[in-house]
Amino acid sequence: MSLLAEKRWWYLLLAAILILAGMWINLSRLQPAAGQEIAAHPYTGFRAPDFSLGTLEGNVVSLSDLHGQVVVINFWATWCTPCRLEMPALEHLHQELGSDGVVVLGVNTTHQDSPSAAADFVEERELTFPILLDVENIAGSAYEVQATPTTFVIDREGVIRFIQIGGPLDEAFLFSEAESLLEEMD
Amino acid sequence: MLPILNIGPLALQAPLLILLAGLWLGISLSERVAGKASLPEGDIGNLLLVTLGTLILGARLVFVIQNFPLYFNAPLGIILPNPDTLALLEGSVLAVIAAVVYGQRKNLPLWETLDVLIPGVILFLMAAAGKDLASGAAYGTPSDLPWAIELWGVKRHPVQAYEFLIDAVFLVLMLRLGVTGRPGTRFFLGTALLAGGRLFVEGFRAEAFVIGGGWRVVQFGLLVVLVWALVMLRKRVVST
Repeated sequence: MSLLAEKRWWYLLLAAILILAGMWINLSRLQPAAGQEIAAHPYTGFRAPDFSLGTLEGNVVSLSDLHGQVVVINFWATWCTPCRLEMPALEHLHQELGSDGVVVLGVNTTHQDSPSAAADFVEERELTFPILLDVENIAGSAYEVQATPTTFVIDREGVIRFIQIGGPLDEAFLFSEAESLLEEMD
Repeated sequence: MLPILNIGPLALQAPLLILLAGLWLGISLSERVAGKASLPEGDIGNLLLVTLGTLILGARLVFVIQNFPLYFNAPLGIILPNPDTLALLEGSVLAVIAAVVYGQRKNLPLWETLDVLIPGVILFLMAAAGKDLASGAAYGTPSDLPWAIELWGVKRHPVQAYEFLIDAVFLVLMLRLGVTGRPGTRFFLGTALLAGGRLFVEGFRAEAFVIGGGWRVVQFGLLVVLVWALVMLRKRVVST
């Protein structure tokens, strides 16, 4: 510490730090990933893993078919209380922004639930957004879902921008996220 | 990665638990150091809690005000915990104001207080690095070094572990080295070490805000903090 008091050593130390820091800042520049495809992983900043699942009505929905739209994927189960609590927020989002390009997908974790329970719940709550049945845990496994509810918000380029593990969702925040993602490419 | 600990029907978020443990340990350590420096331990702990509480509540309140039309229609969201719904810059300003007001009311000397806080802050930052390692956040650039870890499909620098280890070395230095001198010396030494350590570690991060030809903006900010802390440290050493 006493070396710092001597002017000569002080200037020497400062110069050494500036030179070393400058060299490191230059050496560690982040090379732009232009042209490289973003890998698919269930984490913020990565491309959302693709999946195809059947709906309650018997149709098949593939995530890749929704490219160009903002997609909200919500993993849920009928026995999960926070899942039940956040359903009105998802329905509201679907009603309000569905026509603007926001797609809400409710992925029922059917491997730990049942199609009939899901159908009853959807009817009781009058949910109108697509409910997908993940009977073999295909999407749940691809998204490494460890707890319900888990929600992923995906931008128009198919990149995951927000993840919430647990619930219920903050509806206002969900709207602000979806609206800002819609505006990104307008 | 262990983002969720499933214990029976409970799904506990491991990163959050690590962060809370780090917070508790950090406050405890600062209180212990305060006791040795003849500062009131309870006041130091309360100062940290007041600062943190104001940061979280203030940041949340500002975010709600900024998005009031949305919350007006969905008021339940105001009380839901979500780290993404925090206006951190504004919350930090409010937290500093609260800390200053609390410190003045309790007659806590500024530099002596900052001196005892810095070891606790380093311990908390170690926990934050542990949290990132557990959740896979703040991940590193691809690497083929023997100690690289598989994360998000690629072998990467375990940048969170680098951060943890560097902070651990700094913590030992701060606690073991008998740093003497004018009040504030320990604080500026710790700040310089933290800034220098982070400037180094940031170079391994895969995600960063960059300008021009890939220059990491945060590294320039850290260099400014490093030089400022060293200048302030020297002033204290010279005047001792």
